[in-house]
Amino acid sequence: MAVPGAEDVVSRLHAFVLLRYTLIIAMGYLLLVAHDFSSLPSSLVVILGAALVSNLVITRIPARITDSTGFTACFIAGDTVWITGILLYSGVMNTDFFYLYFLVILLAATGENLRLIAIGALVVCGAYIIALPPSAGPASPWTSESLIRIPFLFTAAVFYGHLVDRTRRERRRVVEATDTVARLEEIQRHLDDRARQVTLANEELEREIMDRKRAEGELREMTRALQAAKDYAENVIQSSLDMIISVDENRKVVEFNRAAEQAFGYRKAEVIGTSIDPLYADPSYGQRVVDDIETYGSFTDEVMNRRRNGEAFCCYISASSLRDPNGRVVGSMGISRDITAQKRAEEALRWLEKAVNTMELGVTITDTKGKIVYANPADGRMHGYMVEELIGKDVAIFSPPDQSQPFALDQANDMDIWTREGFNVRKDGTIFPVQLMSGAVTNAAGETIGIVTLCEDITTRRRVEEELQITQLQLMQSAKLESVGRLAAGVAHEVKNPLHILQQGLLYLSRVSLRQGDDQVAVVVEKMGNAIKRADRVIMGLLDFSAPSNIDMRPEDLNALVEDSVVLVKHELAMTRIALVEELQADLPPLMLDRHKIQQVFVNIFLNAIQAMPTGGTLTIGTYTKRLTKSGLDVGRRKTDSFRIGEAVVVTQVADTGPGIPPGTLDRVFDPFFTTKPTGQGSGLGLSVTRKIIELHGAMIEISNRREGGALVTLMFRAERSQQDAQEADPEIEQGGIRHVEEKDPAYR
Amino acid sequence: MSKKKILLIDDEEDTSTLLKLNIEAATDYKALVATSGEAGLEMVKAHHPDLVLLDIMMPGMDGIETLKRIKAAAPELPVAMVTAVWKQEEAKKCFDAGAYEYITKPVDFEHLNTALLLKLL
Repeated sequence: MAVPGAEDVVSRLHAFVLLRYTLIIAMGYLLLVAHDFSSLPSSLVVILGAALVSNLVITRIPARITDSTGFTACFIAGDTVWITGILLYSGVMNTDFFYLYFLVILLAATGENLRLIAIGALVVCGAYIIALPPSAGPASPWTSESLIRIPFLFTAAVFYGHLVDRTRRERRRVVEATDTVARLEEIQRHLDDRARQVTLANEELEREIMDRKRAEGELREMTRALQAAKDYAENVIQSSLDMIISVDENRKVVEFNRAAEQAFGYRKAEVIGTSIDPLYADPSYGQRVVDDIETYGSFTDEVMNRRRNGEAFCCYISASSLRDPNGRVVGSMGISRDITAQKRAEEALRWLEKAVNTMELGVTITDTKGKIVYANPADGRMHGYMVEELIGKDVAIFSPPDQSQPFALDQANDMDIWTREGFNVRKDGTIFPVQLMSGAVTNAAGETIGIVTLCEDITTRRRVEEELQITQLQLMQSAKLESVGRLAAGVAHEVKNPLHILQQGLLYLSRVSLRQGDDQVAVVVEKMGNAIKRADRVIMGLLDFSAPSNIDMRPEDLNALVEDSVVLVKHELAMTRIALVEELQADLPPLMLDRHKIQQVFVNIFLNAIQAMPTGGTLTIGTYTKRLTKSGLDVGRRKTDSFRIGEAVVVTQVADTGPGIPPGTLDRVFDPFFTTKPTGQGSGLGLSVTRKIIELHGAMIEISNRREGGALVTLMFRAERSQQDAQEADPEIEQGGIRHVEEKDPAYR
Repeated sequence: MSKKKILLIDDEEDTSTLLKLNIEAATDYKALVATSGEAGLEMVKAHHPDLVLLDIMMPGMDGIETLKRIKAAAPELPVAMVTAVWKQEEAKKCFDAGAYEYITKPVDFEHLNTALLLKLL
């Protein structure tokens, strides 16, 4: 029996063939029974043989044909025909068999499935058997025609049932297949729809992806741009030479750029997140910044900051509040610059300004056109202007009208410092000597933008220099004379002894000649005596000249000394018939004088005057006191101790009516060995000694020519100092009979 | 009464010799000559001169030292000092030591004569 599950395993063809063999055998057996196991008619055998052969053939036919419904139907029809024919032929087909056979085939044809057909067939066969005996009688089951029919019928029922079932199943399968196809098509449609939808979705998705990609690209681009902007901003902040510091709303440091690091000495990492306050020298500065930002939104001023090492430094800071996009204050930021150096420079500038304003040197700054842009107070004072008057004026106002020089920009440019001396003019027109030092001021590019000129009033310096020069000349002269004097003093002693011997010898010889009455010898002796006296005078003059500077000063009446000295030259006056005029002021104050030396001075002066008037004349001697209204009387370029204006002096003047001092020799009259007298008449030492004595007295001597002819000698003694000196000198007055000896001095002259 | 005596003390004998000639020729005085301070002092003691002319610059005992010794031996004897060069300090020393005169060479004989007369008469 074929079962649905085995169909797949056992080929349907094999089942078919097996069932057919079974049917053929059942047929053959039926026929045998019908023929009572006698030999069968040959036609039946041929038919049965053909049936068996056909069965063999079927197994050789390709499955394509055997599986077709038509093939199955053909065999069903063919088998039904030949079986029915044989049955009819053999006479088996009686009525009941026919009905039975028909019923079985009907059952097979209409049976729902093979099992039900098989069961139906069994039921029919069973019923047939039950109904058979009355008609056929008892018989052996193996020979009973009725019984034998049952396997056949069963086999036939199964065979047909199998075929029908198979066909039906095929059909059902076809229907099912059709349904499946339809379903598949439906599915396919769905799938197509789905695919379309998917495609659409994909397209949408692709678009979305594209959009997203684009968006991502844009985002990336934007991010990159943002990063670049951030980097740029960061770079700007970090590269700034000014300090940039920002704080959050709690005043904690958020940004601290490199300039700040350098200025404060902190690393950025050290201060980020910490309070800003330690960066100020004093918290009050930070508070001020905060207050101002709160009040005005910004702060701009100088503050004192503190470096890490504790050093305070001054910064100029601009600070303002920081806001987020919604306008909320999120902190503040400041840009500041260390202006310590600038402050120091300003300070230094103030010092310099003070120095320039204080110093006595005039400072003028002019632009390149020569216009005064700055003048210090000394400059104004020196030139008699107010500083304000000078600003904007041309610097030429300092130059005297006749010496106006073109503006000296070129000279100042050519040398670092252009130093020269010249004359400047004051506002009142007076001219004074100046030393000027000019230097060009250049800008950073090296271009001249002005000239600084230092101006020094050298009036005093000039005078001092002149005086110094004179003093030097005097010192040289003095040194020269001193050495001459020392030489003379050394020689004098050695010369005097031989002179003494000569004089004694001559004295003796003169006596002898006198006794012998030889006039010629007397003349010779006299001339020799004169020569000895001359030599002695020269030596005495030298000794006077080189005498030590110590003088013996006592209070003396100058008039009395004049009178005493006149007495000493009375003989010479009388010899030359010179009139003497004395104009002596009474009540002269006593002067501190060395009586002996002043007499020597007067005698010298009187003798010079007398010798200047060999044919007579007038010698005028005057004394008077006066108060100096002008200092610096100077003859022969010699200066005495400086007499001061307002000082009281006693003046002695000696005037003669001779020819005066030859022009050009006034300078030299005080030089040793200078004389205008014929050789032998003067030693040339008189006035040198005179001046020396006068200088030792701190007095002054001046020799000049009178306008009306003749020479005038002026002696000037300081009256007040003499009195003062007199008091001081009193205890030192020496005792002894010096004056006793000095009385004889005139005899040597 | 014997002639008045003047003692001339000078290391330079020529000076003394000529002076002696002139003094004796011009006056009634007798001149004695010594060529050193020591010799002069001896002569003062031996001859009791009436006046001494004493040179200051002498080798050995100089004039001022000699003056002091003479003054010690004969306080009343007038001594006139003679020098080549007038020096204030020297003059002062001489006067302090008792000299009555300080004369510079060359000696003016007229002057000396006056002095001698003043002193000796």
